[in-house]
Amino acid sequence: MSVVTLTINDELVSARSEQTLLAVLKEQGIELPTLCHMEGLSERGGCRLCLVEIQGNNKLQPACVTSVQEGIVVYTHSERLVRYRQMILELLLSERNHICSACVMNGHCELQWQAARLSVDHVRYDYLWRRICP
Amino acid sequence: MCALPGGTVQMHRILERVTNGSATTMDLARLEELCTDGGRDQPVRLGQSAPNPVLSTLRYFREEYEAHIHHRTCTAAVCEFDQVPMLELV
Repeated sequence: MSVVTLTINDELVSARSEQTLLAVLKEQGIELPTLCHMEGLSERGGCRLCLVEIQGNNKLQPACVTSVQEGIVVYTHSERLVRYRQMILELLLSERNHICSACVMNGHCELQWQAARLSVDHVRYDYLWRRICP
Repeated sequence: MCALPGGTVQMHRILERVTNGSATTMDLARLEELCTDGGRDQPVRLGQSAPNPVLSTLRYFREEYEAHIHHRTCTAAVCEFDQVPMLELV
């Protein structure tokens, strides 16, 4: 186990080399939205909500499957990332009948929380699932 | 576009609406947003290249899209325009 130093949102941070970026961010108290991450299960990197920007790499990387490296410069809440996360949530919401007022999980729903936190209040796309009412 | 779940499906839906005459100007903006934002950062090759054909047509045949939406005409005489746009409230 070795210790690496990286920069997160312009602050120097040290971390253990086997940690994932998401774990380091959590340790630092930086809140990153996640849906598919769950303690104790293997990471999948499927929900794409924990995407972060790493300097020098034009592609956004999901923090939960990216391991820390010496000297990387990470940004977690840039304008581009927030816009991107909102779009992901919008597309996730359009996939099913996400009609919260008629849902038993209303108020206990991670997707709903994340949408509220990222101020996604309506979906501009077509719902892919057939509609409940015509 | 497995990384942006549903991105290509939405693109397809919008294209379908353009061809059946029920698309609006907002759809065109959405389509463009989906292509540029949804395609650039995908870790999966499909997601990166899937929007490229749509992007090319948007770049080189934009006036055809606009003719479909605003004038309901198809230069290639392929589209049938059997539907009308839903009432736009905003």
